[in-house]
Amino acid sequence: MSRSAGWLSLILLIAASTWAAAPIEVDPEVVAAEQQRIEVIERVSRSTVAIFEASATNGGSGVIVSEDGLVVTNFHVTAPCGALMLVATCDGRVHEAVLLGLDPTGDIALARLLGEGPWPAATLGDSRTVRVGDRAIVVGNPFLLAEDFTPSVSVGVISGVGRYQYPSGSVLEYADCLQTDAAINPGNSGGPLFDRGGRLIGINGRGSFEKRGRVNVGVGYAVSINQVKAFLSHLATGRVVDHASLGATVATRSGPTTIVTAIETGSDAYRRGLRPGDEVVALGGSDTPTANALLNAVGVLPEGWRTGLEYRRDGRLYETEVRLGPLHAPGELLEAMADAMPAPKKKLPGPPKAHYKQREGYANYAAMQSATERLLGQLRQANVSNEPVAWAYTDRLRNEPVTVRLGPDAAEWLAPSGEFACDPGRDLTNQLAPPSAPGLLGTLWMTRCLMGGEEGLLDRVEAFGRLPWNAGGTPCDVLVATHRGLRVELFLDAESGTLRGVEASRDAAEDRVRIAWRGGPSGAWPPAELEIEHGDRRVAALSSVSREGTP
Amino acid sequence: MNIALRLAFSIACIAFSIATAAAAPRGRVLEDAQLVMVKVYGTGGVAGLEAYQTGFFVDAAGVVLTVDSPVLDLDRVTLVDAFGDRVEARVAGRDAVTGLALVVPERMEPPAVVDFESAQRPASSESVWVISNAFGIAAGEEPLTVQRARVAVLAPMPLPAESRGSERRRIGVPAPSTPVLLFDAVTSNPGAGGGLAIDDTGRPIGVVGAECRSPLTGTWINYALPISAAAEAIERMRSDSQADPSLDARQAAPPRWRPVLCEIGLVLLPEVASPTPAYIEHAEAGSPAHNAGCRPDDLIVAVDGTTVGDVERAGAFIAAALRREGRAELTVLRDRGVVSLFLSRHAP
Repeated sequence: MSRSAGWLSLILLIAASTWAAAPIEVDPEVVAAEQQRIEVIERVSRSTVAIFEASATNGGSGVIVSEDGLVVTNFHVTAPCGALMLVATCDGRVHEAVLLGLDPTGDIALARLLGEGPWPAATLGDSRTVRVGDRAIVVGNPFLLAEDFTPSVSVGVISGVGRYQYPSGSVLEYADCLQTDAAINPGNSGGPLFDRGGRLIGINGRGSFEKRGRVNVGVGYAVSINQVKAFLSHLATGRVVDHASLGATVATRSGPTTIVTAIETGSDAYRRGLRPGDEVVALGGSDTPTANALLNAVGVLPEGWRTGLEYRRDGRLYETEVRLGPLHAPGELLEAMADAMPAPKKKLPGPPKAHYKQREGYANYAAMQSATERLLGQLRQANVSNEPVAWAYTDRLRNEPVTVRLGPDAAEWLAPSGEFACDPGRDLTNQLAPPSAPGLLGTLWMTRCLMGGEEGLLDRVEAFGRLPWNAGGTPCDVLVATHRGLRVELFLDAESGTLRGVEASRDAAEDRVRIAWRGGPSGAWPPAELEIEHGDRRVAALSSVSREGTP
Repeated sequence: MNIALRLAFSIACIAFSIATAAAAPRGRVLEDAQLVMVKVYGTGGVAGLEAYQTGFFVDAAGVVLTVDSPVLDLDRVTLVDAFGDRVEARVAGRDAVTGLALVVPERMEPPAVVDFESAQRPASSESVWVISNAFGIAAGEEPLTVQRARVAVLAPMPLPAESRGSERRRIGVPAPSTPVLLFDAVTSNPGAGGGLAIDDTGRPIGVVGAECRSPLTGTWINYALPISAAAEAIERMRSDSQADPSLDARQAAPPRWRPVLCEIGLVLLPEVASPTPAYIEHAEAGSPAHNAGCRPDDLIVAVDGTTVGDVERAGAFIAAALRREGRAELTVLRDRGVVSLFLSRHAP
């Protein structure tokens, strides 16, 4: 008996060793795909974080988007946390993070990790290339499950793209969002949605539950990463940011076509000719056959974005450029947020003062100060002296000489066709000269102050975030200065920091003055060329005389 | 080109389509499946009852299969196809065994219809796509929700929890012990009833049934009626159509895009094989089609930028574009080159 058992075990041993010696043939493609899957899950887990309020009761998920520690999550995740939150990475460590900016409409918040980088940032994808049926990976912290902060992973497909979810009794609006059947549960909010290759394509935040209670039924929504990308620089300025609005209400008619039913007369779209009854054909290069398609195209853009607009009237197609206004009235967002934010918890420690300053109307005023300082630093690189200057130009439109004088307390425009002056010590909204470009001289004077390091003379100077100077162009850093009623925006190239253009207005309901700024051999100052427009009209095209070599 | 050559080419086309199908099937399969789907709107919207559900075209006359439900209570519904075209329809038949219903539109040319002949009996653990308007997320021309699921098992339908202790069955739910496909994903959501499950190559697998709960666990059952049972139900409703003769009469109706194309002088190749390549047979001299540059033996490969594989799809797309916008852009292959032609209904 024992002998036969011995034989049996020997045979088994031989069999086992033979089996072990002969490896199973696996298609190399399968091995590679499996290896890639493992690598992707490891990588996306590292950039996913769990977010808690300081008392560690409420929480959600988030994702690291830059090596210097920027974390994107949902507004509704950070709302109970206030300015300071605890952020846990998948290695089990817990860090502090401070709130930077809030987007209550898009349900997005930006925070910065405090501590030593570099942080394992996710690779940002392009949500426009996502197609229905693509693999989708949801990573996060559902039901606050993982005590060691290893995130949960669920996998599914993209169920829909370009979804529009109406505001449900709040300012919240999901435009052009992604729909997935990968499980999104309470606690997944603010966490990342990745594609098959581990590229970040969305921020999970909403689901359809209805009569099933608040658990996943295979219908979840993610804010598209392209929307987040357009807003990142805005959120980094510590503001409560607003979304864009065309200023028109539209309806879908048979065809389908999108017809304007009403339009605000103060909107730029109205000034560019859009009227009730017109058919909106495209915005920003996206066709807009339905009202939802138009809401999708506009809703993912920040306030102030310049974009192309195509509309049709009586069979004729019109193409123009508009600057989109804000979606909400002043104060409306702060009011809506007041309900969402709990009273400050006095007992808990606040964030370090270097990283956070409370000021009404801002998510984090310290972030605004450092963002503004960065842009002012770029402008100062032009080394503009405070001495009065007199620039000699030729106006190519009128073919006449123009002299622009800028001093500490005066700005002048001297030309045979007219001489104008502006006193920056007085209200700038009343000094409209020259009449064809109201506010031009005040704008040039304010630009001189900003470039000469004299921003202290101006009422208010703030960073805004990135906006394109031309429709479809690469977004520029925008610095907004207001002084004596005049609002001036400086557009700085995001790569080089050089001035691309200046736009100014007294009132959002009026056409703006636009000055395209082309630097000379010694940089942005003095400008070699200034192209000045007001609304649809070209006002002047100035070329530096000295550069052209003529007297 | 003679018929033999054309057939040879059509076989080459099929071979090509199979080859490309192996490389990138998913996008095309799902886009094609959306074309057969219909958003169904009816009564409801109060007391937790949805006013919307899903359906799909089952024949060229535009007859739609959906689930029986309170949405159909007034016998009148509104259908919206994949292009956002909207049409009124009436309920023409209800099947007690499966809980399915047939709806007949006043006038509609479906962009595509479900091919029951290609239907497959699914295997357990097979992956399927489930397409439905769950939660009414899609409106107008927007594509319906697509979910991924696996067939867990083919099992007899239990008596729904809602009907325990009463003789009354829940409306739209298959009779107890009817074989149904159970899925491993939550596919049975509000409005999903009448949705379509397809396999990875686009062949129909099943019809998503009305929502109901398991009598054992009280949880919602994620199931679909096998497509073969749906086909039998359609036959039952059609043969029972003394009440509604329109179902029978319509069954044999030819595809109605040919008359639309005739109006502009365009004749496509008759269906000599399945699929038949989309060759232009004839463009009447002096007609809008002829003036637009259509010539015999042009092979239509795309309509308004959307690729069309066969004559059925090409014809339906051209007719739909002409009907909606009065014009269509054809991309045709001619003498090994690609030519763009702009068809207009009203051109001289």
